[in-house]
Amino acid sequence: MKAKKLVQLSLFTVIAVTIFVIEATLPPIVPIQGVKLGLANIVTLVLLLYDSPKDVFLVLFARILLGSILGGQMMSFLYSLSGGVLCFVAMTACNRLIGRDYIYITSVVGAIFHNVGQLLMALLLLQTKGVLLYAPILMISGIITGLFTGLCAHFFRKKMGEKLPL
Amino acid sequence: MPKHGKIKCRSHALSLKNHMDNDRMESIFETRRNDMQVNRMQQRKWAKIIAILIGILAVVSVAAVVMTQLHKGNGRCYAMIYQDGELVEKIELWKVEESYEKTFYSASGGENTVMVSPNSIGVVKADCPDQLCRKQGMTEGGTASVICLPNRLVIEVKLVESTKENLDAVSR
Repeated sequence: MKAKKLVQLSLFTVIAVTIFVIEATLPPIVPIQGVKLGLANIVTLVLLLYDSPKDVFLVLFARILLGSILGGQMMSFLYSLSGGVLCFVAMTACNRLIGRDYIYITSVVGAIFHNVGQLLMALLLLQTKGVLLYAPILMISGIITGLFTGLCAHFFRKKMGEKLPL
Repeated sequence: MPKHGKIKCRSHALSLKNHMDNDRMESIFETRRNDMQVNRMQQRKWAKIIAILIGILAVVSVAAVVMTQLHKGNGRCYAMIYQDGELVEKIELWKVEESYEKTFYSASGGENTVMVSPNSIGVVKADCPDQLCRKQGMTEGGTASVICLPNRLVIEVKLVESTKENLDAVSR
C-alpha cells in the first residue's frame, strides 16, 4: 500500500470513528434498539464512490473495531460486525450494478441489509422470535436513515467532483 | 517494428490516422458512445428495479406496523420472559390484580427489574448502559416486545387467542 493511500484511509477511519463515537453519545431518538442514523456510514459511502471495495472494507472494519473498543461493549461489536459486513456486501454489489449516480439507492440497500444483519445477530444471540416484531420498524428506519446518509454522500460528490482532492 | 523516436511515433500515428477511413473512425466512436449509453441505460434500469423493491418493502413494513398496532386491542394478554434465550417465566397479565416488581439476573451479571401490572408489563430498572429497555416504558395491550440487548432479556407480550376455552374461563 502506498503511503499516500495509507494516510488517506487512516484519515477516513479517524473521521468515521469520530462520527461513530459522537453519534453514540447522542440520546436515541426512538427507544428501540437498532434505530439510529448511522452517520458513520457516510464515510463508507464516500469511500465506495472513490476507492476500491478492498479499501472500503479495511476502513469499515477498523471503524467497527475501534468504535466498539471506545464504546466499551463487546456485545455491540458483534452487532456492528454482522450489520457492517452484510451492509458492505450489499452495497458493493449494488454499487457495481447501478453505478455512482444512484449512490442514495445503494445507501438505502446498505442500511436495510445492515438492519437485517443486526436482526439476524439478535435472533442468534437472544434465541427468541420476539425480536422479529421489530423487523418492520427497523426496515422503515433503515430506508429513512439510508436515504439521509446516501444523500449526504451524493452531495459530497457533487461538491468534491470526480476525484478526491487528497 | 523499428524503434520509434517521439517525432517518428507521432508521424506514424498521423499517417495511420490519415490512412484510416474517416467513416470507420466515426463508427468506432459511435459504438463506444453507444456502449456507454447502453451501460447508463442498464444502470438506470437496475436503479428503477431496486427503487421499486425498496418501495414495496416500505409499504409492506408500514402495513405490518399498522397491523400490529391495530391488533394490539385491549384483550387479555400474557407475557413470556426470556433470559439468555431461555424461557424463565410466563405471566398471565390479565390475571394480575396488583402491580409487583421482579428482578431478573442474566448470566453475565446484568440486572433488570420488571414491573408486572394488570395487563401491562415493562422494565423499570436496568443496569445496562443504553437504558433502552427502560425507556420503552410499559406495554399497552397485546403483541409487543421489550428487549434489553446487553442483558439479553426479552419480554414478549401476546394476546390470548379468544378460543372457546378462554371464554369459558371468563364466564366461570
